[in-house]
Amino acid sequence: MKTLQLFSCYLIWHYSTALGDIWGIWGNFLYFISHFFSFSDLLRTLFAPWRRLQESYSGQGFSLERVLTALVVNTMMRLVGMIIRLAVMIVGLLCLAALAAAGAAVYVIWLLAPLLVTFLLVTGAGLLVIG
Amino acid sequence: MNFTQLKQQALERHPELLLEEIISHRLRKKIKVTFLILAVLLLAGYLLLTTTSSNIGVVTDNRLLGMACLMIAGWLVFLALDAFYYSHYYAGALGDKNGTIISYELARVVVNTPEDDITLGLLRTDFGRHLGWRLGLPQAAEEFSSSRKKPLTAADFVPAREGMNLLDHLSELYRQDSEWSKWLTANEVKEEDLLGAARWQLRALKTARMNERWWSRTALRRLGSVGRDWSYGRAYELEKYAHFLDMVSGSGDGDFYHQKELEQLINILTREREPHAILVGPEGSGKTDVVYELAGRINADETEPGLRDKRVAILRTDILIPQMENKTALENELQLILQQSAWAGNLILVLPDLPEAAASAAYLGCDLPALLSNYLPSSRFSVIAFSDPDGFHNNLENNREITNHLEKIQVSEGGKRGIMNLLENQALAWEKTHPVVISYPALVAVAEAAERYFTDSGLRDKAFDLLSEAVSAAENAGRTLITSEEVNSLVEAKTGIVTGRVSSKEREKLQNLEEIMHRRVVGQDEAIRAVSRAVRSARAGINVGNRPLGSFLFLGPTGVGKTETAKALAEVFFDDRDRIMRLDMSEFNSSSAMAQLLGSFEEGKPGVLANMVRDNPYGVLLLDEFEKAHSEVPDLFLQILDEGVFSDAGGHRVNARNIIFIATSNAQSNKIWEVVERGEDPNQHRDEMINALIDSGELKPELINRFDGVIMFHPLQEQQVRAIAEKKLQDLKQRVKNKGIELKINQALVDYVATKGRDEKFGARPINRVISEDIESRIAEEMISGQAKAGSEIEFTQEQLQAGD
Repeated sequence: MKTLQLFSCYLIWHYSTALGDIWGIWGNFLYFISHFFSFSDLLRTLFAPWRRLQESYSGQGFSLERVLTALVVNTMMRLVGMIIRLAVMIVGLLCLAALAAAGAAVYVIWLLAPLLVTFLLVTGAGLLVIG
Repeated sequence: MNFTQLKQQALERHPELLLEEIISHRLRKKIKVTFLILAVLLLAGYLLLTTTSSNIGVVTDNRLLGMACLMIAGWLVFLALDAFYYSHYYAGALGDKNGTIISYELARVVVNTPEDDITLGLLRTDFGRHLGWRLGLPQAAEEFSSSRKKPLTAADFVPAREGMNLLDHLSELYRQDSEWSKWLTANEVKEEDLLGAARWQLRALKTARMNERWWSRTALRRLGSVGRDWSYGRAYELEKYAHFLDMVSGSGDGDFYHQKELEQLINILTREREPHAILVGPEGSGKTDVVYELAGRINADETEPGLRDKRVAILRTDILIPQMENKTALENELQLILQQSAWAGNLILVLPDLPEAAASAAYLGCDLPALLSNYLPSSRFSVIAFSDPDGFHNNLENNREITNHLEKIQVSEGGKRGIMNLLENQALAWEKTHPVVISYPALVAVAEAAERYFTDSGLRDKAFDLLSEAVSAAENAGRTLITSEEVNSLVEAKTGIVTGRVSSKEREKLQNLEEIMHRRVVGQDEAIRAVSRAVRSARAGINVGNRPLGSFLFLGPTGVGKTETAKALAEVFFDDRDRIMRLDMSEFNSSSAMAQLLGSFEEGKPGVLANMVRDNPYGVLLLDEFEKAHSEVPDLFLQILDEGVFSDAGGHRVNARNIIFIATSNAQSNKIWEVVERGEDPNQHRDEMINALIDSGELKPELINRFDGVIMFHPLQEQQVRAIAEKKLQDLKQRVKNKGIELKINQALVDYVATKGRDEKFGARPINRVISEDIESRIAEEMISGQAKAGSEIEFTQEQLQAGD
C-alpha cells in the first residue's frame, strides 16, 4: 500500500515539481556563468585602461614627447584591456552555449526517463533470456 | 486536528518520509553504489568477451549486456529516488513562508513517534536524542521513562495549529504534559532552555543542509567572478601592510548579532559624500566582527549595489609605523598608501585602533588625524576606523578633523542574546575539532557569567575565553559533555563566587546562615536576620545583575559587632574571611577626597578605591565612618550602588558588581543609647533614626534609599559582653593550649574581662586590650618564670585578678 502511494507520489513529482526543480537548477547555473564571467561589467568597461594604468598628459610646460608617449601608452593599456576582456567574454559565451545545450539534453532525458528505464529493463531481461 | 491527523498531514506534505520508511537513506545509498559498480563491471566484461569473441560456460556476451542493462536501470531508479528525496528535503529546509505547511523537522519527528506516549516517543527520535545532549541530559529518554506514570497518548494531545513547526510542538508538549515539564524543571531545564536548545539544533541542521546545496545561487555566487576588478587600480604600497579580506565569508545568518551596527555602516559606506565611519566600542565588543561580516557579504555579493566589487583591507598600522625611521618617512608612506587607495577606486580601508595609531605616529612627530583628514573629503575610497570609548573621548572626540569626516557608530556589547548566537556558532565549530558536546544551559551559564562576573573587558572575548577554558577542562578530565555545572565550577574557581546550582552542603549553609554568623557575632539578631535575607536572595540569583552583590548601611555605636558581621559575611559568601577590604572614610574628608579615591589624571596617581576594587573584584568592602567623608563622596557611591560600575580618573571603567559594600556609621549612636536605656528596641525607632540622620545632614536620603538594607546595631547588653568575653577567652585558651598549658576559664575571669572590657563609648572593643594586657601578659610571666610548664594548669582567682589592677 505504502509502496503504491509512494509510486503515485513519485510519478506526479517526476512530471511536475521535478521539472520546475531542474528548470531552477539550470537557471542557477546559467546565472552562475553570467555572474562568473561578469558580461555586463566587462562590456561596460570594455575600453577602460587595464588596471587603471595610465600615463599623465600634464606636467611642467608643454612637451610633445610626453603627450605622444602618454597617448601611445594609454591607447596600449586600453587595447590590452579590451583584448583580455573580449577573450574572457568569448570563453564565457561558449560556456553559456554548452550549458544551454546540456540543460536541454537533461530535460529530454528526464522526460523520457521512465521510458528509458522500461526499455533497459525489457532489453536487459530479453538479452538475458535469449542469451 | 488531532495527532493522528497531524501524522497523516506530515506524510502527505513530506512524501520523502514515506520513502524513508520503506527504504532508508543509508540502504538506498548502498544499493545505488552496488548497482553502479556491477553495471561498470558487467559492461567491462561484455567488452572483454566481444573483443576476444569467447564465452564462459552459459555466460555469453549478450547475457552480460542484458545484466548490465538491468543494473543501469536499477541505478537510474535509485538515482531518481534520491532526486525525489532531496527535492522535498530541500524544499522543507527552505521552509514555507506562510507557515501553513508542517515543517520537515516536525514531520520527521511526528512520523517516527509512536502514539502510546508522544513525549517519550519524541525523546527517542534522532532529534529527541540530540536534544537530550543539548540540554545536558544525554539519558533523557531512559531516565524520564523510568519515572513515567501517566503517558501522554496521541488521543490526549491537541496539536497547536495546522502547519506548525517543531518549536510550537515542543512548546505544546511542555504545556500539555505536566509530568514532563516537572521532570525538566527538576533537572533545572526551564521552558526557555528547552526551546533555546531546540532552536539552536534546528538552526545547525538547517545551516548544514543549506551548505550541502552547492548548486544554489548563493553557493555558486560565492565562487566569485573573473574580470570585475580589472577596471580598478591596485594599491601596491598598501598591499605591503594590509590584510585583505577577499576570502572571508559571512556568517550566512540573517540574524547577525551586530545587525543594527552593520546596517548603519552599510548606509554610511554607500552614500555619495564622505563614506567614512568610526566604530566606537569597548575592546572585544565585536568591531572586527562587523567588518568581517561586511566583507563576507560583499564577497558573496549580498550587499547593496553601491558596495559591489569593493575590497576590504585592514591596514596594520602596528606594523607600518614602527618600520618608519622618522616623521618624513612615515608621512610619505602614509600619503602614498592613501593616494593609491583613492586611485584604486574600490577600497575600504580599515584602521584598527585609531587612537593607538595616532599616539604611535605622534611619537615620531606625525599628526595622523590631520594627514588622514586631507583625504577624507574624497569619496573614492572609504575609511572605517576603530576606537574604544576611552580613546575616543580622550583623543578623538574634540578633534574636528576626525569627527567632521568620520561618522560615529556605537558598537554595543551585544548583550546576552547576541552573545548566545555567537556562542552557539562557536560551540558547533569547537565540537568539530574537540571530542566534546556543549549543552545549551552551559552556553547560557557562559553568557551570564561573562556578563556578570567578567565585565572588565569585552563581553564577547570573555565569553569565548570562558567557553574555551570549559572545553579544555572537559577534555583534560576526559568528559564528553559540558554542562552548566562545569561552567559554574569554572567560574567559581576563577572568582571565588559560588554560582549555579545550590549544592546540598551550601543549601545547609544558606538555611543556617543566621546560626553560622552568630558563631562570630554575639547578639544583633535583627541585623543578622536582615543581612542573611539579602545573602539568600543574592545566592538564589534573584538580585539585580547590574548592581553590586549587596549594599548595607550599618548604624550603631562602636564595638558592637559591625565589623565582625562584615567578616562573617565574607566568610559565608566568599568562603574566605580575608576577602575583606577596608577604607576609613574619615580619611577622605578633604576636597581632594575624590582624587584620593579615583586617582588623579594630571599627577598620574592611581585612586585608592579604584585600585582596591580592581585588585580584589570579589569581596566585602567596608566603608568605616561613612558619614565623615567629604560631601562629594556620597555622590560617587550613589552611582556605584546604582550601576555597579564607576570610572577612574583615567576614564577606565571599574566593575564593582561583585562586591558587597558595607558602610558603617556611628552617627546617632547617642539616640540609640537613649532608646536602649528606656528599655526599647532601636529597630522600632528605625525611621526616626534615619530621619535624624537626614536632618542632621550626615547622610543624604537618596543614598540611604540605595542601600539594600539599613541595619541597626544595638549597644551591647551586659550578658552579651560576657558572651563576647567568654568567646575571646576561649580563643586565648586554644592559643595557650598549643603551648601545652591548660587555661581554666572560671566565673571570676569572665567577670573580670567583661566588666573591665565594657565601655560605653567603645562597646566590647576594649575586651581584646584587657585580654592582651591583663591576662596574656600574666600567663607569659608565669611561663617565663617557670611557674607554668607544659602539662600544667593556670587558673586565676578573683583576688589575683583584682591584685593586678
